[in-house]
Amino acid sequence: MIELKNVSKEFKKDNKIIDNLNFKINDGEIFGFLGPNGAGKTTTIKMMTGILEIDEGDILIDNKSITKDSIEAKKLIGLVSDNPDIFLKLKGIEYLNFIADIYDVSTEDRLERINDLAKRFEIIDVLNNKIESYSHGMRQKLIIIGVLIHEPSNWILDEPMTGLDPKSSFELKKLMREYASKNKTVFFSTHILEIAEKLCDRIGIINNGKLIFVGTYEEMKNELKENKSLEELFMEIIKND
Amino acid sequence: MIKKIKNILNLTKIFLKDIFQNTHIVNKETKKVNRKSIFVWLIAIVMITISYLSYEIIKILVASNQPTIFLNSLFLILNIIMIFQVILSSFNVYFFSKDIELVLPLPIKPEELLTAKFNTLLINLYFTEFIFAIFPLLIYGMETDAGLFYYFYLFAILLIFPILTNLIISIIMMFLIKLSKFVKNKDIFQVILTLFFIFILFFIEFKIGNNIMNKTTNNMNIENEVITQVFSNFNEKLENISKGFLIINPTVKILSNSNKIISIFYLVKIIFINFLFFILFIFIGKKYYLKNILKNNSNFYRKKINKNNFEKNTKKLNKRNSYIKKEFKVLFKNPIFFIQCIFPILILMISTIIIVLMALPNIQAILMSELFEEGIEFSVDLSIICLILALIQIIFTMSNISISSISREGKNAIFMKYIPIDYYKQFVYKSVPQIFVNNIIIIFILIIIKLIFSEFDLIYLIFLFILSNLLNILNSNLMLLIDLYKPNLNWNADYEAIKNNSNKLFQYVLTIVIILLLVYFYKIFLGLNLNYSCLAIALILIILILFINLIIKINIKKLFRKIN
Repeated sequence: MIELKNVSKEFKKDNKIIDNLNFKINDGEIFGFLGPNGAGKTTTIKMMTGILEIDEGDILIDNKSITKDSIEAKKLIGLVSDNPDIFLKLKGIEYLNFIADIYDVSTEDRLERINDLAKRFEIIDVLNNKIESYSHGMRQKLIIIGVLIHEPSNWILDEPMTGLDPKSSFELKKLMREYASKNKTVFFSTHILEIAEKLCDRIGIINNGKLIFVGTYEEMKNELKENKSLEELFMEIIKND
Repeated sequence: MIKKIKNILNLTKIFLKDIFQNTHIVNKETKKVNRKSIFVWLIAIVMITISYLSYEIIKILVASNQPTIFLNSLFLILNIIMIFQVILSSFNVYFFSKDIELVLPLPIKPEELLTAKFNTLLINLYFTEFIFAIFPLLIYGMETDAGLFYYFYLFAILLIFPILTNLIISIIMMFLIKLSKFVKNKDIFQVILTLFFIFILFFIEFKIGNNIMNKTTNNMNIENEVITQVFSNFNEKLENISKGFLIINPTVKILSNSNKIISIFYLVKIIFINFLFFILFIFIGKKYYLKNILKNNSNFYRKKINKNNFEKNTKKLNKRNSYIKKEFKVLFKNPIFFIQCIFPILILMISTIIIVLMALPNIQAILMSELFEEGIEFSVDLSIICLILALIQIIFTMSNISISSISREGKNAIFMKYIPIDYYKQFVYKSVPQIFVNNIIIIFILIIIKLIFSEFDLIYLIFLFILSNLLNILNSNLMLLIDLYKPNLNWNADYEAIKNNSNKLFQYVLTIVIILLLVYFYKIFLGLNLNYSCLAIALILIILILFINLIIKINIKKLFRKIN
């Protein structure tokens, strides 16, 4: 469960980049975070994961505050960031093992999970190669495996579909659904509204740092009293804001 | 042709901007030298020191009627510095820098790219020349009452001198890079090639050292030799050595005979040699350069995983050990980081071994005879302890590991913020690689000391080990603190993480402060028993380390704010 309580952030004085965000993502839910470029999606994710400090308010991860009890809260998160170019000189397997050590995963569990996920994403054969030799999509897959290796109760993904081939994209969506069905939280930001429409239980729309809508696709249609696609409704909401 | 030159100039400008933009030597607004830049002040201090030393040396040599010794020595040293410089940076500049990938899709001919890369290296060499040679050579001209022609030739020489070194090494590089097809791992290949070059350089250094040492030893036995004769022999020796460098002797001849017609002949000779090598460089470059770059870009070492190495690679370690292991892996597996952080230390150790091997019998003979003559027994006192600690501190200055520990992470640094490990613990783990590598240096130096001064008491060696390790921890903590406070995370090519990191200057400042502190310790503990003095210094250093760590621990969240 992830809960944002009156969260605000400003980089310059009196210029709030995130303005009083309030929403809760329940266990077993897939939540899509939508918004145009520069709306504050990545900043919100960075605050949720402890990368950026919160100026006002608090974020709770399974009731643990990311500001006051950050280490315990971070143990409950798995982040797939928007930049997969990480530790390029390490081999894929070395990276995964390092992550498993950081999150205290037992030898048996890591062996089983790496084997299973690497086969599923079809990168088992390249795990002994340096990450720098991987394509963008392969790096993205490796990061996803790295996150799932410790089976966090809250999975946060920033633009996860970028660079993935159709098969891997399909696998990822399937994994997200499997994850949510285990009563775990999945939070992801995306530009691809079609994915959000089909995959998410609820969506949140952010524009200029303010949350302008939270709810299901059906609720959005009811609110706007129009039977349009998510893309069209999204454009309308952004335009009205 | 004009378009070609235009392309070359534009490319050179972009490559240079990329290298120099973070040094802040020039104020971007006023377009004048930036007086607030520590880098500028450091250059000024180095130049003033070199100029002063040169002035004193030239005065002595002019009085002995052997001023050309200065020219021979200066150009020999300058050439060796330049060779080191080109070797350490040329692989990266020509073949492994990321900007190549950006330039390759542009409609630029291989020779244009090659020449622009050559110019980048050349301008770096001019910068070296500016720091080490311009003022000493002007002082030489004034002290020897050289005529106007000297200054004309000096200008020409300064322009021409670095070209040949750059050309020769670049040509060799072009051939050696062809071997990359035989080595699957390009990272290892890069390190091996650099090692190979350095080995050659050490071989030359050994030869030079041997020549000079032999001569010096002979001279010591001939007490009646007049000093000018000694100088003359030394100069002859230098000239012989310089023959191996192709350009040094003609250069010295031009400057020392600037008012004679023969200088023109030598100048034309140098220009002709340079021209021939440039033609060869372009010819080889046209043929191989682009091919080699393309091969390098596609040459990745691939090895399939099997059950054995899969299980071997997935053994559990505790968080601390795993984190530290990762730090070492990143440092050692990245050839650029390895060359910039570990190489200087390796070079220092190998040079010291060479010097000690050559000079050890002489040093011991001198020490024995002088101490014997004066009836003094060798004993360690506080001045020796402080002197050795100061020397070790100077060597620590070469270490780039902690000062670039955060910067080396680049955009990956945010990783440190979302993993569930306390920031302060990560700070401690990141200090370990420098402390470990410096420890090897400390042990190495203590062994050398024991070899030279066999009567050095073991207890003082232990004291030195402890004290220098406390200095080591202090250095690593402070440098990491500076890098954390002012990280250089926005880089595109690995070498920028360290080369464009102006934080390095704080390392020099710290060394000056610690040396002053050691002088102060010497003054206040002078009358005290040496054991107590060492214990007192250790205690002060421990308190200092604890205090710094306490400050870091309290402010650790603020310190990590720059990473986001």
